[in-house]
Amino acid sequence: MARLIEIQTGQALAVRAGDLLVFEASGGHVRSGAQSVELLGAFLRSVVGDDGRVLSPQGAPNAVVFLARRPGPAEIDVVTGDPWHGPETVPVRVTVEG
Amino acid sequence: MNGNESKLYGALAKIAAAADEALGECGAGHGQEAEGEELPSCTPKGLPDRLLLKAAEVAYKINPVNAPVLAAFAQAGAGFQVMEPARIAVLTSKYWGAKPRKLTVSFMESTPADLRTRIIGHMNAWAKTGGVSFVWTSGTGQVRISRGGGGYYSYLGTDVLLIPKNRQTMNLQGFTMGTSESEYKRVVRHETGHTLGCPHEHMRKALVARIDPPKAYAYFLQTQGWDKATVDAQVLTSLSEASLMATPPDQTSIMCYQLPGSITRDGKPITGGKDINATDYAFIGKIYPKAGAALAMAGGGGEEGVGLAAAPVGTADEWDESEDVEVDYDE
Repeated sequence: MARLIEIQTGQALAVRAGDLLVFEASGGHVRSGAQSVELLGAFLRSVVGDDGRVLSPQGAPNAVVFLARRPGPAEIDVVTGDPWHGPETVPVRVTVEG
Repeated sequence: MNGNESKLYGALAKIAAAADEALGECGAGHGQEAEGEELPSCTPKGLPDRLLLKAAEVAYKINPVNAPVLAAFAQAGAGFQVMEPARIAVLTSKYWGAKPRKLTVSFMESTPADLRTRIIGHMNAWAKTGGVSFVWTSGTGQVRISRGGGGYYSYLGTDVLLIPKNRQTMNLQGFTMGTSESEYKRVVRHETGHTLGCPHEHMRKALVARIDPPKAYAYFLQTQGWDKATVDAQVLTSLSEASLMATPPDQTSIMCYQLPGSITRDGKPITGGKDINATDYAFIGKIYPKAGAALAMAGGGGEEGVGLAAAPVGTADEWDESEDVEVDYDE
């Protein structure tokens, strides 16, 4: 069964094909191993308000989602911090297991 | 248009008529120019200071979130402005109203008293001129702060009341007593501006127009991995001016983020604000007046030079108080 994995920090991860990796970050890149890991995008966490509307805060994206597609190694960058003021890039090694 | 809105329109029409009468010397010449005769130019006039609060209160009572009313005025170009020129914006649909108020604040995580005090102290920097202040509660606050992951953000204005009580309305990732004072000023005060209803200043039309889209797409793809849609949403989509209580954009407002010169058309950066500036203070003091603020402001300036005198504001018209129009509205 595929998993949704919420990740705050980490420099190396072993996951399974089909897993969804959600980082608390504003951006990200796939440096290598694009056949194994795909960047789905940067998202802004939002909520359903008491009135039923979807409410989004004022702010940069704060969730970056990667999909583990096929077995193999990959190197990804996760961009954290304030995108407008000194963002930091954290490299993460991902191994997608079969 | 409902009954209350009709009454408000009617009342404002009376006010406009009275203003036109008072401006008789230019009223007849609106848009006309007699041959060989130089007519005096008409400049937009504001309500007398004593009526600004009342006008805002009326709009608020008609509709507490008042966007339909105020936005309709702006779209109609009717010249009805609660505010005269100011340089940061408040989205009218998120406006807390002119009545002074205290918003309670709680923290999602266990937070030491000194840290709570420091954060709330910076939030209350806005209260130096504004009538909205923040006070800690041990219960569940109207404003709920998390220092966990997710970066920096806040919901806008009155939206915070709609956020589920188990969720934060403001996020200040990683803030501790060790965080520098400059970051408290830059981030906590900025996020609190959102809580007061101020959107990002860099999304004002005039500032967005300075950005070169192809450069912005390339820059944010390289630095953040953002796709075009994300860049559009974060940087290139300007706010509808009709939804704002504001006029000229201000790149040094605390609500403006810095953007590099490498993505602007003229090569000059959008500098961004590092703290609440004098114009921010003056604007927030006008839209969220403190009790009795009108009198103090009429005297010119305020604490540390902050006040009406510190900002370029339009000329308010003046007439005898006995001529004020009474507005009839349902409570």
